[in-house]
Amino acid sequence: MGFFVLTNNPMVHERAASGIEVVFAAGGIKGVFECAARYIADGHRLLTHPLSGSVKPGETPYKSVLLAGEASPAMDDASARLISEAFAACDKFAERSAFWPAHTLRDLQMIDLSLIEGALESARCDGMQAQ
Amino acid sequence: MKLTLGKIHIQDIVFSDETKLENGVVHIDPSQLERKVLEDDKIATVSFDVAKPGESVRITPVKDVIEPRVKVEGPGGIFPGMIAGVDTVGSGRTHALAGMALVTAGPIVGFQEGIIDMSGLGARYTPFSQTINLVMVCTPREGIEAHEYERAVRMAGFRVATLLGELGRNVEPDEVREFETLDFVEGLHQFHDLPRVGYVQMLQSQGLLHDTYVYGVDAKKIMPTVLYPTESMDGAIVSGNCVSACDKNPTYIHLNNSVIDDLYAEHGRTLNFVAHIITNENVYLADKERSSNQTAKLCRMLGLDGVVISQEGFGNPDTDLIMNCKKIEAEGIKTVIITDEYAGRDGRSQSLADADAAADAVVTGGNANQVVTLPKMDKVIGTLDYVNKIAGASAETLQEDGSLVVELQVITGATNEVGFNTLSAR
Amino acid sequence: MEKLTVLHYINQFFAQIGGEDHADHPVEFFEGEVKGPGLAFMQRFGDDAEIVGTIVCGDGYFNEHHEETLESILAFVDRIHPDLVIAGPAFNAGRYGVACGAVAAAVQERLNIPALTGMYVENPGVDLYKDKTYIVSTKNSAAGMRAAVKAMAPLALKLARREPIGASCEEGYISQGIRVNFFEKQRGSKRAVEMLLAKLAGKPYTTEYPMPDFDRVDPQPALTNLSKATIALVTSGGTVPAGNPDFIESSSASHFGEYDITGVDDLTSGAYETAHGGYDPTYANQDSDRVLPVDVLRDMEREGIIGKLHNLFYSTVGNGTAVASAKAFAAEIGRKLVAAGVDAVILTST
Repeated sequence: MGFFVLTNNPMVHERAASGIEVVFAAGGIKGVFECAARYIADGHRLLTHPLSGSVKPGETPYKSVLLAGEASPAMDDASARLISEAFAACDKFAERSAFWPAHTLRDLQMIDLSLIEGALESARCDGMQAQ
Repeated sequence: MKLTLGKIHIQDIVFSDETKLENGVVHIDPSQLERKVLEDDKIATVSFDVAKPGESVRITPVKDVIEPRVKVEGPGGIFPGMIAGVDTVGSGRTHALAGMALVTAGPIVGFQEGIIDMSGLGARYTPFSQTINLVMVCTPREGIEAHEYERAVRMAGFRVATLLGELGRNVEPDEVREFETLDFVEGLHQFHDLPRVGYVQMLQSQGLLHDTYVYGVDAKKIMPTVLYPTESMDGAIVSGNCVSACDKNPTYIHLNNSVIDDLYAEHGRTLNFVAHIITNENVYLADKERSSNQTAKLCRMLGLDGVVISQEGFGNPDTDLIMNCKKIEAEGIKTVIITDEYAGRDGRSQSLADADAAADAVVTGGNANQVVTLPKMDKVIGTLDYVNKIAGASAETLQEDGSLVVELQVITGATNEVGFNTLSAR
Repeated sequence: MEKLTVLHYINQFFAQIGGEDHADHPVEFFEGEVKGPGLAFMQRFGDDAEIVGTIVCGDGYFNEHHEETLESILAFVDRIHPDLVIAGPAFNAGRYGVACGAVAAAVQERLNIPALTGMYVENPGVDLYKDKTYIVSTKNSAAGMRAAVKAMAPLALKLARREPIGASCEEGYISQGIRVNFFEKQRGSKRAVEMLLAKLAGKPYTTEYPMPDFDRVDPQPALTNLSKATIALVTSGGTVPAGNPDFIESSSASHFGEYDITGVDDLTSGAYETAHGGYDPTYANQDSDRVLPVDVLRDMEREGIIGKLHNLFYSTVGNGTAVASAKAFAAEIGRKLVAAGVDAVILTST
């Protein structure tokens, strides 16, 4: 069973180790969640929690999520619930990332990359193969 | 394991030509401390300042808050695995410079948050308006990577705290307390008629600016395990975490964990405080399942009747919290959980990202989205550059009269989830 | 210091006009008079406040003439312009609770006059109005009148004086589902340890954050063969035969109806209507298929998409109906459907 990274973070693209499949999602965090929701509806299970990190949605425009590469015949209820609660959480925070200068955006990309790298490490230890 | 903790009440901090502790006053030779910090060439400059309770001073952005301590007797030293060696700590005698704190400040990355106001409305919401703060503001060497710089500042903070703690080694403390946890078999016999209670502490463990270290080990990598409750009093658990300001635990909180304090107050009288169980909050879902399975297993193995569970941070840790609660309750062990809330500015949104009927005993540190207006302070230690852009701030944050309209999120320790404060919500 | 002025809203029962048989009593204004529980309030208020008039309305009447009644009540309140309006307390009387909540909320919102009511926590009025006005928690019958007045009076005076109102647990009103921060006397960790000790000893404790009750129901496995399945229609939209022969209430329904649609292809406007008082009935009355899609299901029957449309449909009104009642209806309807060999249900609501 493999996995892939769904992300809108250009740094994840740049720096993800070779052999890791990265799928780009357009838009802000909600854009990533919408894309994830479609994959989940198609039977791909979430491998990471969508609300990774404590930098709030809105403060950061970046989000990376790990999904199972293979689609199961039935949708995973837990994944569906997690993504719908993630949408609800977004609505509590104001969109603020327009204020950030370029170097701050890069810092936010780095934080998101660090969060997903931790998860990639766990996925590898879990016996998951990169897709 | 038994620890004697002696608190030396610090009355003031002054700059001088010699670093010493005399009659409750800490004298600082800034150049000596500067040399200590700049031992690591990743830090370009450091400056020191003092902020006292009641002053019109704002410290921002805050990275960590640390209480200086020193191991006077017994194995190991403060901050094992980080500064001291890896001997098991928590026994013997330790002195603390109480009433003061070392605050590391200055941005690690370009969006950091964390405000400590020493007076005004903001002071009501942070515990660190009550401590005399020695602030060290660092700047990075050109071209340094954020990971490396974070580690450099973190370690510099511990080095300075250790240097300051050493000042208390031969000073007679103003207040001495003994904390003793009997081993399981002895405790079971001695307190056979008391309920067996444990403290499950969830540690933030997700990545850069979101990490915690236990005896120097990244908490992301640990399996849930058992500590004596006195180990964290010697700095066995330290913070690498500074997001989000309101509900992350600075090292000061780990050293002065109020759940441990309040459980010890009842120990031997109304309950048997058996153990301190630590677990993590990884982003990877299977890790959450593994850790909560193991945590519940440990609670059962220890024969616990009840636990207090505290979490750290926002969002996905709510899932760990609910998993831990459900699985422990399923073992027939009663739980009380401590959390904070993100209920939106109007207080009408769902406070937690997860929920379950099993979590029927909740203590809350308050709604972090509550908006407050912080008055202008005469002096800023650090920089206000980021304030407009930090958590809870918006284009309207900085008002014409210099006041700040922000959410509680940005105030260091405001909605602390080990129940350190009295702020709550209904 | 001048006495604060209060207007009091009560129903036909507490005004001693009559019981259920007088529920259709039209709204009446008794300027300068104190009635029923108003006397208890006056005693509690002492020199601080006085009731300067009482508004009385039958619960049924308020329900059936919601808009106009509210308008005339607001006009009266506006003319007198008291410092405060108190409604009830309504205890567990559903229509009374809804009326009290509606009056208090309207007075606050439209006249900017503070208002307060009281009712039992399960009264449907609570869910509808708890975040639109202050509702003090009372016992579930008028036997709790003394305690209710005792709890309501201090909050009433605070509201009348326009003092800031604290968190629900501080002031004694039912949590509005709006989280309000405040400072406790003890720190959180101490409160946690005390809560745990109480929980371990089997003693009562109050959680500081009640978990939202999702009442999750696991979905049944999907039908394998729709073309052989018997589908039943159930609605909380209030669809009933013309004339509402079973008198299903327009709100706070106390029962459901069971209706035979053997040979009925289409719900026509002369034969069917809606009893629901919570939405504009015009379009539903024009064509009840809009709420209960009999016509579409008959088409599907003919086309072989479904096996059969069940010959009975079940209907009630969801408007302000207590959750406990809804659960009870569902259990009974469910039993009947299972006994009749129905495979699946389409549940419509409005």
